[in-house]
Amino acid sequence: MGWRPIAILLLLIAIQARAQLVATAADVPVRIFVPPPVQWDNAMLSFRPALQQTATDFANLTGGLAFGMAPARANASLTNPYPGLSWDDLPLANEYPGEVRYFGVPVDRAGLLRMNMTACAGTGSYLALLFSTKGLFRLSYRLIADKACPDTNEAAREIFSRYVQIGQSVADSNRYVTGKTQVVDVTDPTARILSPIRWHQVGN
Amino acid sequence: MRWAWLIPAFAALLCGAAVHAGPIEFDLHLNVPPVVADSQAPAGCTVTYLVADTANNDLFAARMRIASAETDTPTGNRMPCPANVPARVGVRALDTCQSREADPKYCVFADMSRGFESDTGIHNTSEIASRCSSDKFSDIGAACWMAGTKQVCDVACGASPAQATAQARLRCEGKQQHSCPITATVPVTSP
Repeated sequence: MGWRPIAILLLLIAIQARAQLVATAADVPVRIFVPPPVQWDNAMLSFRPALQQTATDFANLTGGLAFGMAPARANASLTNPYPGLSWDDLPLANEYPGEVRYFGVPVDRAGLLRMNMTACAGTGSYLALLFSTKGLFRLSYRLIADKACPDTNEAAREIFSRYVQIGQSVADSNRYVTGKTQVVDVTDPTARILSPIRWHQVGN
Repeated sequence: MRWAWLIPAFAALLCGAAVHAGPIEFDLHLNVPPVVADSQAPAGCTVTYLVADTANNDLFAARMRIASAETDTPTGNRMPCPANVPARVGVRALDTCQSREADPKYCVFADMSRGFESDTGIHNTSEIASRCSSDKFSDIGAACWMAGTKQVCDVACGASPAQATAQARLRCEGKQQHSCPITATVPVTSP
């Protein structure tokens, strides 16, 4: 007797603890976002985008929608355009300085702009197209959780992952949460003053 | 005297030319890729970093292609990567996240120290352990656990997606002393 049983007991406890750590749950795969690569010189002193991307790459992704389009033209490029839409009829987006107007499209009727999303998005989710006097400057996906879809994070990730592949000199994409809503904003990089402004959900 | 008016006229022309004779425009679009790519050419060096946005629990793969020196020779059809990568390359990798995040403090390297969940600063992450080089590895992986709402991760390199994931999981579970079931992997080099 003496120290031997204690040593064996401690050894058994250690083995049990290790076994618990090793016997982990199955992998839960998550997404890694992949922006376009950066090219460095050999001395790693300077860099530039490794890919030549243009507004055409963005238009290919959005089914023809491009920054700078007037509301009527942007509307015409949608899968389900609104009849007779004009600048004067659009509501003001009051979170922005100056005159910014918008219209919304339900995400489930957004055609190519759904970005082949497979995860659930709440039934009230929509895509806001925001216009300054210079034309379209932002696409804002607002994915609102509801009882049928209590978490829209995966849907936001799916949409974001598509836009992240476009360089920020062509389309500046970011995502955030406000209230119960996941937001993915895709902004014209030339709209500098309007770019940092974020939408805040009211009433959550 | 009849031709005297030509002197100021020539002077004006020469001045006009001088205006255009400045330094050559920097962006001559020389970086436009060739129309015909050599599919047999050895793959250039890419150093890929995994960067985390702790506000959204997002992971970004920041791929940094590094031009080869004329003296470099390929091994196994892969061009070598530099033995030392300066910190500025890591800073540029972080910018992949910071330029998309309202508060840059949420952007850190994805290989995190034990206890990161209670001190989420970048000093609690490792730049070197968050990157993989294409001359040695084909895949980079991350394994994470959820500390409440915060994802705590570690990174590893591998010769396949499965190996990168398994190595990352081993590293995470050894370092964090937690089960790390949340995993992700991408190729080091872009397709």
